Amino acid sequence: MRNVVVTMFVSLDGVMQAPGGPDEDTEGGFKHGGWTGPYWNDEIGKFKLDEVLASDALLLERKTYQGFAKAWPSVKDEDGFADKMNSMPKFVVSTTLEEGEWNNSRVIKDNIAEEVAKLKQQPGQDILLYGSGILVQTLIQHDLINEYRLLVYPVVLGSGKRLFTDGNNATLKLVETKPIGSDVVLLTYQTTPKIGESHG
Amino acid sequence: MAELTLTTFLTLDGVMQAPGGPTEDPGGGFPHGGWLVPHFDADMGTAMIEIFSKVDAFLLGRTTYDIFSAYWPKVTDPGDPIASKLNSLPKFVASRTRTTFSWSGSSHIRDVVKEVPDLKQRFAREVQVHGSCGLAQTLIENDLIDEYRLLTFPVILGTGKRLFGAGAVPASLTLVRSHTTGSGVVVSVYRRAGSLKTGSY
Repeated sequence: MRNVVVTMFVSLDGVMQAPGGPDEDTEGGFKHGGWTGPYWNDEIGKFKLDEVLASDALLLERKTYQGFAKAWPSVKDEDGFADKMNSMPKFVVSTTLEEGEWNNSRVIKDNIAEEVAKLKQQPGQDILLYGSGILVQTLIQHDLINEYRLLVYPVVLGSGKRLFTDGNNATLKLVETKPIGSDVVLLTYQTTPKIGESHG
Repeated sequence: MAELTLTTFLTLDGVMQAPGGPTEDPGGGFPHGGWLVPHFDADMGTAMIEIFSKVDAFLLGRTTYDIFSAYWPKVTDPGDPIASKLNSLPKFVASRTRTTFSWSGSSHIRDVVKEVPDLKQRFAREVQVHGSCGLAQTLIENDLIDEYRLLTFPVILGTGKRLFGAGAVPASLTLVRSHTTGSGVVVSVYRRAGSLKTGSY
């Protein structure tokens, strides 16, 4: 049984759009892309590396996937982050893609909840989910997320796509909080099983 | 000169409406009033007492004033570290609809943006805002808050009034400290640090 781990950069006002750069996602006229840039540090890098090395699949929606597929194949780094990203299996949720252009990709076209539930049944490490704001909402609705790792940045953006959109509610369990660098806090939450769900 | 600080209970999705009970603020048909209650613990009480130990005066929105004034005057123990402050210290109430307030020590503020600098001059330590969602929007939009104390609860509500609404001005803050209570509440203190900076990597 594997866990679906949502790992996300979020602003203090809950926005997750375009953390890495101005061109990453300008939808809705978003002007603040790159808001994590000034806070990058080795500790964050180490956390992201450990995380990817403890995972053996990526689960992404099309837009996030296509951004990654463009960027990662040409990246090389000593730590092996890019190698892991490029080699590990990727599951991309899309109704329009026929096949993924990035190495080791499989497209999930429909029955998203069932397909993800099936993935979770397989043996293996964590299934990591980066970005993919719409997919996250679908997974929340179907109780398919096991853990959230939120790197909370000390910025207020006032606009942009939020991680938690209207309509979903849940009680979580805080498992860890850790300052990471001087101004960023890592919050780790696990979802609590709904009544009637087995713990097996 | 005093600082203006804002203390609020928040959900993980940033909602601050009606933490203490279903009748506090049912505006907009909010169905989750009282979401804080299952998570209250002694650590959280300690954090709140520490915050109240720094207060010289309160600045409250009218709804929060009404909630507070219906409850705290009944807590008459002079040793209560929260009631003693709320009952004895000056309370300034921002309201567009009401001008008289019966709780002892209360007075009306009409133009909060204009009057905050003057309020800060009149006190030495902190003028504290607690809750007060509508007032908070005005203060955030006008960049008047020196320090935020956010108590973030491990719940997602998916609806309700948020602290940082659509009118929030983009800003950078500095994390002063952060700790966790036994029941999983994250207490974080942020101070303003100027305009938003971005970059790419």
